[in-house]
Amino acid sequence: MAKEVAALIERAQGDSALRQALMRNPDQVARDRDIPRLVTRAAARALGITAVGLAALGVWF
Amino acid sequence: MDSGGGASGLFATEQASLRDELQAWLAWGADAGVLLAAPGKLLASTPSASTRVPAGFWALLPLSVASYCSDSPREDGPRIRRLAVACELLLCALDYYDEIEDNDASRARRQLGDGRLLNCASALYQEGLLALAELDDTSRLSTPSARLSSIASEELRRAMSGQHLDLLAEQRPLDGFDSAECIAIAQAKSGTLCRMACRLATALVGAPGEVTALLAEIGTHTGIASQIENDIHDLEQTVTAAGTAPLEKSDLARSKKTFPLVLLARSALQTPVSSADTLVYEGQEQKLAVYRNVMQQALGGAIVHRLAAGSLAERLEQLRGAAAPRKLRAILGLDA
Repeated sequence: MAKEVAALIERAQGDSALRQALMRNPDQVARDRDIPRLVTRAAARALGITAVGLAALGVWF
Repeated sequence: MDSGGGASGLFATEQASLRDELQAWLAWGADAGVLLAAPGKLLASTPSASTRVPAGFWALLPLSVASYCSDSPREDGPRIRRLAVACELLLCALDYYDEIEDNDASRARRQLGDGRLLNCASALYQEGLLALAELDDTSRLSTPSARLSSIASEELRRAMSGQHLDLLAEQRPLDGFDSAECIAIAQAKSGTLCRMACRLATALVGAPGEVTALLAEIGTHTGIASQIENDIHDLEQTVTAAGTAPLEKSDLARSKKTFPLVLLARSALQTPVSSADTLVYEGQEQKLAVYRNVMQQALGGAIVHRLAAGSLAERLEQLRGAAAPRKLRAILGLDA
């Protein structure tokens, strides 16, 4: 699953429409693209974490 | 009390004899204190460096799981605490084996040297196994499959195999390494250990099969997520501390095939991180942006396992008919 999430995030980083769709409704993206909801939800959450947010989580500088 | 000559002189011979006895029996005891008081361990005097992982995690995990699953927590309390300490001893030992295998240099290793560290870690390992055997001997449940010693043996063998895969992967090129294999290694070496702690906890209190299976799976996901987060943290330390941190001890320098490093190797940076020079990202905004993107991907890999654990925990709560306590949720990282 981790590999699939990473790949989805990578695609979304280069595709603003996908990124916005994920951020808006990850479950809809899961249905549209036949991807497990867990994968789209994880991708949406990771994409929502900014560098500042990562710093706050202690996993970023 | 002898108010004249003093009692200390009176017992000098016995004290010397008892000291010899104690020293012969537990010669490694003082060194064990050094190992168990290191940062993150149960006896640590300083707070954990991580805001997420409390000191004594390996004792708190089985303690929290067993307390939640027990139908009579008060009665089971002493045995649960004994199991918690046994897990702390076992995992502390494995942690120091890992340190020598990876040639890390903690304060404990510098203080004791490799010989004493190895022997002491082995003694802690043996004490942990002995505690499990004693719990088995006094168990009212103890079907063969629920014997703590058997569970530990099965899972520890699996974890050691995973650890060896990790070491063997160091010899392989980073280029072309499949990130799915990183996760498989993380599952084998870290997921297995968290699963072991959960299985031991549920076996101790005789939890039903479905609860046991769910918690075993939750443990696996928790272990994988924690491993990825640790690997991100290691890389972050390496990148941000380039020039000041001991780079030669990092995952990067050892060519560890961690999830974030393998993703980084596939990125537009094309494995830029092979020397200290290329690690200094300050002022290189484009590279920094790529690096951030890759770390976001790696973090997504950890989050999906946290979410999977959370989803299983909901089913567990339905089965138990009770919400997971805050401490159990915290130790499993369910709200992370």
